Amino acid sequence: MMLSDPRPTRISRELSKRLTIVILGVKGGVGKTTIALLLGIGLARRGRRTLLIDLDITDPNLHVGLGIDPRNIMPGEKKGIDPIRVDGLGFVSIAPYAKGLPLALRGVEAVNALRELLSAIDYEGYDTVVIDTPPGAGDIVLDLLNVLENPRLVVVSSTSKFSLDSLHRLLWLLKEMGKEPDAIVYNMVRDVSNNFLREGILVRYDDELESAFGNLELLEKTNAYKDLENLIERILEKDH
Amino acid sequence: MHEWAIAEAVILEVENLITRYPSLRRIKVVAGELQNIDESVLRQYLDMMMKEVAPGVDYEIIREKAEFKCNICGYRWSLDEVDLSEDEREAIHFVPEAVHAYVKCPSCGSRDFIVVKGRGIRLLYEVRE
Repeated sequence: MMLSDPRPTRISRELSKRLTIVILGVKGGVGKTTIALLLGIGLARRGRRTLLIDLDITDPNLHVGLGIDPRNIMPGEKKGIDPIRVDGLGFVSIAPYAKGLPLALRGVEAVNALRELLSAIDYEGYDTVVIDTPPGAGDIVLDLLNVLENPRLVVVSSTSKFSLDSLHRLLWLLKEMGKEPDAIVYNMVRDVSNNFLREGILVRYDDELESAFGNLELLEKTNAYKDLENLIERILEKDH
Repeated sequence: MHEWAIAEAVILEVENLITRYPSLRRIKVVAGELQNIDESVLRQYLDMMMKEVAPGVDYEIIREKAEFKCNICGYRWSLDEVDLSEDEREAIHFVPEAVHAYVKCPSCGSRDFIVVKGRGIRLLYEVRE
Protein backbone atom coordinates (compact mmCIF):
# COMPACT_ATOMS: atom_id res chain seq x y z
CA MET A 1 0.00 0.00 0.00
CA MET A 2 1.09 3.56 -0.62
CA LEU A 3 1.37 6.27 2.01
CA SER A 4 -0.23 9.68 2.11
CA ASP A 5 -0.28 12.58 4.61
CA PRO A 6 -3.78 14.11 4.73
CA ARG A 7 -2.75 17.35 6.46
CA PRO A 8 -1.23 19.54 3.69
CA THR A 9 -4.44 19.45 1.65
CA ARG A 10 -6.52 20.96 4.45
CA ILE A 11 -3.82 23.52 5.28
CA SER A 12 -3.58 24.63 1.68
CA ARG A 13 -7.38 24.80 1.28
CA GLU A 14 -8.00 26.79 4.45
CA LEU A 15 -5.15 29.25 4.05
CA SER A 16 -5.65 29.91 0.33
CA LYS A 17 -9.13 31.23 1.23
CA ARG A 18 -7.58 33.82 3.52
CA LEU A 19 -5.07 36.67 3.35
CA THR A 20 -2.04 34.74 4.61
CA ILE A 21 1.14 36.63 5.42
CA VAL A 22 4.32 34.73 6.24
CA ILE A 23 7.03 36.62 8.11
CA LEU A 24 10.47 35.34 7.14
CA GLY A 25 13.63 36.37 8.91
CA VAL A 26 17.17 36.00 7.71
CA LYS A 27 18.73 35.45 11.12
CA GLY A 28 17.74 35.15 14.76
CA GLY A 29 17.38 38.44 16.58
CA VAL A 30 16.37 40.62 13.61
CA GLY A 31 12.94 41.26 15.13
CA LYS A 32 10.82 38.91 13.07
CA THR A 33 8.49 38.08 15.94
CA THR A 34 8.12 41.77 16.77
CA ILE A 35 7.16 42.57 13.18
CA ALA A 36 4.67 39.65 13.11
CA LEU A 37 3.14 40.89 16.36
CA LEU A 38 2.88 44.55 15.32
CA LEU A 39 1.59 43.65 11.88
CA GLY A 40 -1.05 41.37 13.42
CA ILE A 41 -2.19 44.12 15.79
CA GLY A 42 -2.26 46.67 12.97
CA LEU A 43 -4.35 44.46 10.70
CA ALA A 44 -6.77 43.65 13.53
CA ARG A 45 -7.15 47.37 14.33
CA ARG A 46 -8.07 47.95 10.69
CA GLY A 47 -10.97 45.56 10.99
CA ARG A 48 -9.30 42.39 9.71
CA ARG A 49 -10.26 39.30 11.70
CA THR A 50 -6.67 38.33 12.35
CA LEU A 51 -5.13 35.09 13.55
CA LEU A 52 -1.48 35.10 14.66
CA ILE A 53 0.33 31.77 14.42
CA ASP A 54 3.74 31.11 15.96
CA LEU A 55 5.53 28.47 13.89
CA ASP A 56 8.88 28.84 15.59
CA ILE A 57 8.18 25.32 16.78
CA THR A 58 11.28 24.60 18.85
CA ASP A 59 11.62 28.08 20.31
CA PRO A 60 8.27 29.87 20.33
CA ASN A 61 7.94 33.24 22.06
CA LEU A 62 5.23 35.24 20.33
CA HIS A 63 3.14 34.58 23.47
CA VAL A 64 5.56 36.81 25.41
CA GLY A 65 4.73 39.73 23.11
CA LEU A 66 1.03 39.07 23.63
CA GLY A 67 1.37 38.81 27.41
CA ILE A 68 0.34 35.15 27.61
CA ASP A 69 1.79 32.65 30.07
CA PRO A 70 1.73 29.30 28.20
CA ARG A 71 1.76 27.38 31.48
CA ASN A 72 -1.67 28.67 32.44
CA ILE A 73 -3.64 28.49 29.23
CA MET A 74 -4.87 25.80 26.86
CA PRO A 75 -6.78 26.50 23.65
CA GLY A 76 -10.28 25.08 23.51
CA GLU A 77 -11.70 23.03 20.66
CA LYS A 78 -14.59 23.63 18.31
CA LYS A 79 -14.30 22.10 14.85
CA GLY A 80 -10.56 22.11 15.40
CA ILE A 81 -8.24 24.00 17.72
CA ASP A 82 -10.07 27.12 18.89
CA PRO A 83 -7.47 29.93 18.89
CA ILE A 84 -6.75 31.77 22.16
CA ARG A 85 -8.27 35.28 22.08
CA VAL A 86 -6.12 38.26 23.08
CA ASP A 87 -7.56 41.75 22.78
CA GLY A 88 -9.16 41.28 19.35
CA LEU A 89 -6.60 38.80 17.98
CA GLY A 90 -6.64 35.02 17.65
CA PHE A 91 -3.47 33.20 18.60
CA VAL A 92 -2.13 29.68 18.05
CA SER A 93 1.25 28.33 19.15
CA ILE A 94 2.79 25.07 20.27
CA ALA A 95 3.86 26.80 23.52
CA PRO A 96 0.68 26.08 25.56
CA TYR A 97 0.95 22.38 24.60
CA ALA A 98 4.57 22.27 25.79
CA LYS A 99 3.81 24.40 28.89
CA GLY A 100 6.95 26.45 28.34
CA LEU A 101 9.23 23.39 28.58
CA PRO A 102 12.12 22.80 26.14
CA LEU A 103 11.17 21.07 22.88
CA ALA A 104 14.08 19.21 21.30
CA LEU A 105 12.76 18.33 17.85
CA ARG A 106 14.74 17.07 14.90
CA GLY A 107 13.74 18.20 11.38
CA VAL A 108 11.03 15.67 10.52
CA GLU A 109 9.35 16.06 13.89
CA ALA A 110 9.39 19.86 13.70
CA VAL A 111 7.71 19.59 10.30
CA ASN A 112 5.15 17.18 11.77
CA ALA A 113 4.36 19.65 14.54
CA LEU A 114 3.97 22.45 11.99
CA ARG A 115 1.57 20.39 9.86
CA GLU A 116 -0.37 19.23 12.91
CA LEU A 117 -0.93 22.74 14.23
CA LEU A 118 -1.86 24.26 10.87
CA SER A 119 -4.18 21.42 9.86
CA ALA A 120 -6.00 21.19 13.20
CA ILE A 121 -6.98 24.88 13.57
CA ASP A 122 -10.61 25.93 13.31
CA TYR A 123 -10.14 28.94 10.99
CA GLU A 124 -13.83 29.90 11.03
CA GLY A 125 -14.20 33.59 11.81
CA TYR A 126 -10.73 34.63 10.55
CA ASP A 127 -10.04 36.31 7.20
CA THR A 128 -6.37 37.11 7.82
CA VAL A 129 -3.53 34.93 9.08
CA VAL A 130 -0.07 36.19 10.08
CA ILE A 131 2.53 33.46 10.51
CA ASP A 132 5.80 33.89 12.39
CA THR A 133 8.55 31.44 11.42
CA PRO A 134 11.95 30.33 12.71
CA PRO A 135 15.02 32.13 11.32
CA GLY A 136 16.54 31.19 7.99
CA ALA A 137 15.37 28.68 5.40
CA GLY A 138 15.32 25.38 7.29
CA ASP A 139 12.83 22.51 7.31
CA ILE A 140 9.89 24.44 8.73
CA VAL A 141 10.15 27.39 6.37
CA LEU A 142 10.70 25.19 3.33
CA ASP A 143 7.73 22.96 4.19
CA LEU A 144 5.50 25.96 4.82
CA LEU A 145 6.42 27.56 1.50
CA ASN A 146 5.78 24.24 -0.20
CA VAL A 147 2.36 23.68 1.38
CA LEU A 148 0.97 27.22 0.97
CA GLU A 149 -0.27 28.13 -2.49
CA ASN A 150 0.23 31.87 -2.68
CA PRO A 151 1.23 33.39 0.64
CA ARG A 152 2.22 37.03 0.97
CA LEU A 153 5.83 37.14 2.09
CA VAL A 154 7.44 39.75 4.31
CA VAL A 155 11.19 39.38 4.81
CA VAL A 156 12.70 40.94 7.92
CA SER A 157 16.36 41.92 8.22
CA SER A 158 18.40 44.20 10.41
CA THR A 159 20.98 46.49 8.81
CA SER A 160 23.99 44.64 10.23
CA LYS A 161 26.48 43.27 7.72
CA PHE A 162 25.77 39.71 8.83
CA SER A 163 22.05 40.13 8.36
CA LEU A 164 22.39 41.83 4.96
CA ASP A 165 24.68 39.03 3.78
CA SER A 166 22.01 36.48 4.75
CA LEU A 167 19.26 38.60 3.22
CA HIS A 168 20.96 38.43 -0.15
CA ARG A 169 20.91 34.61 -0.04
CA LEU A 170 17.32 34.35 1.19
CA LEU A 171 16.07 36.65 -1.58
CA TRP A 172 18.02 34.61 -4.10
CA LEU A 173 16.43 31.40 -2.82
CA LEU A 174 12.92 32.87 -2.89
CA LYS A 175 13.46 34.09 -6.44
CA GLU A 176 14.54 30.62 -7.54
CA MET A 177 11.38 29.25 -5.93
CA GLY A 178 9.31 31.77 -7.88
CA LYS A 179 8.22 33.53 -4.69
CA GLU A 180 8.73 37.28 -4.68
CA PRO A 181 8.41 38.94 -1.28
CA ASP A 182 5.79 41.65 -0.94
CA ALA A 183 8.12 43.68 1.22
CA ILE A 184 11.51 43.74 2.87
CA VAL A 185 11.38 45.23 6.34
CA TYR A 186 14.63 46.70 7.63
CA ASN A 187 14.22 46.57 11.37
CA MET A 188 16.01 48.34 14.24
CA VAL A 189 17.39 50.97 11.86
CA ARG A 190 19.60 53.59 13.52
CA ASP A 191 20.82 55.41 10.41
CA VAL A 192 17.96 56.08 7.98
CA SER A 193 20.23 57.74 5.40
CA ASN A 194 21.48 54.51 3.81
CA ASN A 195 20.46 54.41 0.17
CA PHE A 196 19.65 50.72 -0.03
CA LEU A 197 16.95 51.17 2.62
CA ARG A 198 14.77 53.08 0.17
CA GLU A 199 13.59 49.84 -1.41
CA GLY A 200 12.26 48.52 1.89
CA ILE A 201 10.03 49.42 4.80
CA LEU A 202 12.04 51.08 7.55
CA VAL A 203 11.37 50.41 11.21
CA ARG A 204 13.52 52.61 13.40
CA TYR A 205 15.27 51.31 16.51
CA ASP A 206 12.79 51.77 19.33
CA ASP A 207 13.77 51.87 23.01
CA GLU A 208 10.13 51.74 24.08
CA LEU A 209 9.43 48.31 22.63
CA GLU A 210 10.99 46.13 25.28
CA SER A 211 8.81 47.52 28.04
CA ALA A 212 5.71 47.41 25.82
CA PHE A 213 5.87 43.66 25.10
CA GLY A 214 2.96 41.94 26.74
CA ASN A 215 0.71 44.99 26.52
CA LEU A 216 -1.04 45.59 23.19
CA GLU A 217 -2.18 49.07 24.14
CA LEU A 218 1.43 50.14 24.80
CA LEU A 219 2.67 48.41 21.65
CA GLU A 220 0.25 50.48 19.56
CA LYS A 221 1.91 53.64 20.88
CA THR A 222 5.46 52.68 19.87
CA ASN A 223 7.31 54.24 16.94
CA ALA A 224 7.95 50.76 15.56
CA TYR A 225 4.18 50.22 15.29
CA LYS A 226 3.74 53.56 13.53
CA ASP A 227 6.61 52.75 11.14
CA LEU A 228 4.74 49.67 9.99
CA GLU A 229 1.75 51.69 8.72
CA ASN A 230 3.22 51.62 5.21
CA LEU A 231 3.54 47.85 5.27
CA ILE A 232 -0.04 47.39 6.44
CA GLU A 233 -1.34 49.77 3.77
CA ARG A 234 0.72 47.98 1.11
CA ILE A 235 -0.63 44.59 2.10
CA LEU A 236 -4.24 45.70 2.31
CA GLU A 237 -4.01 47.65 -0.94
CA LYS A 238 -2.89 44.56 -2.83
CA ASP A 239 -5.67 42.53 -1.25
CA HIS A 240 -8.40 44.69 -2.83
CA MET B 1 -13.99 18.41 18.67
CA HIS B 2 -10.65 18.75 16.94
CA GLU B 3 -11.26 15.24 15.53
CA TRP B 4 -13.54 16.96 13.00
CA ALA B 5 -10.59 18.89 11.56
CA ILE B 6 -8.60 15.66 11.30
CA ALA B 7 -11.51 13.80 9.71
CA GLU B 8 -12.03 16.65 7.26
CA ALA B 9 -8.34 16.51 6.31
CA VAL B 10 -8.69 12.76 5.65
CA ILE B 11 -11.73 13.25 3.42
CA LEU B 12 -10.07 16.09 1.46
CA GLU B 13 -7.08 13.84 0.84
CA VAL B 14 -9.34 10.94 -0.24
CA GLU B 15 -10.96 13.34 -2.72
CA ASN B 16 -7.49 14.16 -4.03
CA LEU B 17 -6.52 10.52 -4.28
CA ILE B 18 -9.65 9.48 -6.14
CA THR B 19 -9.12 12.27 -8.65
CA ARG B 20 -5.56 11.09 -9.17
CA TYR B 21 -6.40 7.35 -9.04
CA PRO B 22 -9.99 6.67 -10.21
CA SER B 23 -9.38 2.98 -9.49
CA LEU B 24 -8.70 3.64 -5.79
CA ARG B 25 -9.79 0.50 -3.98
CA ARG B 26 -9.00 0.62 -0.30
CA ILE B 27 -8.00 3.11 2.40
CA LYS B 28 -6.43 2.41 5.76
CA VAL B 29 -6.52 5.26 8.24
CA VAL B 30 -3.66 4.63 10.64
CA ALA B 31 -4.35 6.33 13.99
CA GLY B 32 -1.29 6.72 16.21
CA GLU B 33 -1.55 6.05 19.94
CA LEU B 34 0.03 9.41 20.83
CA GLN B 35 -2.76 11.42 19.22
CA ASN B 36 -5.31 9.23 21.00
CA ILE B 37 -8.07 10.23 18.62
CA ASP B 38 -11.73 9.59 19.47
CA GLU B 39 -12.35 6.82 16.96
CA SER B 40 -16.16 7.09 17.14
CA VAL B 41 -16.06 10.74 15.97
CA LEU B 42 -13.67 9.90 13.15
CA ARG B 43 -15.78 6.90 12.11
CA GLN B 44 -19.01 8.91 12.21
CA TYR B 45 -17.57 11.56 9.88
CA LEU B 46 -15.93 9.06 7.53
CA ASP B 47 -19.08 6.87 7.33
CA MET B 48 -21.03 9.95 6.29
CA MET B 49 -18.50 11.37 3.82
CA MET B 50 -16.86 8.30 2.23
CA LYS B 51 -20.16 7.32 0.52
CA GLU B 52 -20.27 10.77 -1.01
CA VAL B 53 -16.66 11.33 -2.12
CA ALA B 54 -15.45 7.76 -2.70
CA PRO B 55 -18.38 5.37 -3.19
CA GLY B 56 -17.22 1.76 -3.39
CA VAL B 57 -13.91 2.45 -1.66
CA ASP B 58 -13.47 0.40 1.51
CA TYR B 59 -11.91 1.94 4.53
CA GLU B 60 -10.74 0.80 7.93
CA ILE B 61 -9.20 2.48 10.95
CA ILE B 62 -6.10 0.85 12.40
CA ARG B 63 -4.65 1.72 15.78
CA GLU B 64 -0.84 1.91 15.99
CA LYS B 65 1.09 1.68 19.27
CA ALA B 66 3.60 4.44 19.92
CA GLU B 67 7.30 3.62 19.92
CA PHE B 68 10.21 5.92 20.75
CA LYS B 69 13.92 5.62 20.03
CA CYS B 70 16.66 7.55 21.78
CA ASN B 71 19.06 9.33 19.41
CA ILE B 72 21.82 9.19 22.03
CA CYS B 73 21.83 5.65 23.46
CA GLY B 74 19.54 3.86 20.98
CA TYR B 75 17.07 2.62 23.65
CA ARG B 76 13.56 1.87 22.35
CA TRP B 77 10.48 2.19 24.52
CA SER B 78 6.68 2.44 24.45
CA LEU B 79 4.08 4.63 26.19
CA ASP B 80 3.68 1.90 28.83
CA GLU B 81 7.04 2.98 30.25
CA VAL B 82 5.96 6.62 30.48
CA ASP B 83 4.06 8.33 33.27
CA LEU B 84 1.95 11.22 31.94
CA SER B 85 -0.63 13.40 33.71
CA GLU B 86 -4.09 14.03 32.21
CA ASP B 87 -3.04 17.55 31.14
CA GLU B 88 0.06 16.23 29.42
CA ARG B 89 -1.95 13.57 27.59
CA GLU B 90 -4.40 16.25 26.49
CA ALA B 91 -1.56 18.44 25.13
CA ILE B 92 -0.07 15.47 23.25
CA HIS B 93 -3.53 14.63 21.87
CA PHE B 94 -3.53 18.02 20.10
CA VAL B 95 0.12 18.08 19.01
CA PRO B 96 1.86 14.70 19.40
CA GLU B 97 5.30 16.37 19.24
CA ALA B 98 4.52 17.98 22.62
CA VAL B 99 5.58 14.56 23.98
CA HIS B 100 9.14 15.90 23.72
CA ALA B 101 8.35 18.40 26.49
CA TYR B 102 7.26 15.70 28.95
CA VAL B 103 9.24 12.57 28.13
CA LYS B 104 12.93 11.74 28.42
CA CYS B 105 14.73 8.54 27.48
CA PRO B 106 14.11 6.10 30.36
CA SER B 107 17.61 4.72 29.90
CA CYS B 108 19.90 7.76 29.60
CA GLY B 109 17.59 10.73 30.39
CA SER B 110 18.06 12.48 27.03
CA ARG B 111 15.31 14.59 25.45
CA ASP B 112 16.82 13.83 22.03
CA PHE B 113 14.63 10.97 20.82
CA ILE B 114 12.36 10.28 17.86
CA VAL B 115 8.83 8.96 17.63
CA VAL B 116 9.41 5.88 15.48
CA LYS B 117 5.71 5.13 15.03
CA GLY B 118 2.27 5.76 16.44
CA ARG B 119 2.31 9.59 16.36
CA GLY B 120 -0.84 10.71 14.50
CA ILE B 121 -2.99 10.08 11.45
CA ARG B 122 -1.68 8.88 8.14
CA LEU B 123 -3.32 7.24 5.15
CA LEU B 124 -2.38 4.06 3.39
CA TYR B 125 -4.11 3.44 0.09
CA GLU B 126 -4.33 0.73 -2.52
CA VAL B 127 -5.18 1.20 -6.18
CA ARG B 128 -6.88 -1.54 -8.29
CA GLU B 129 -4.49 -3.08 -10.85
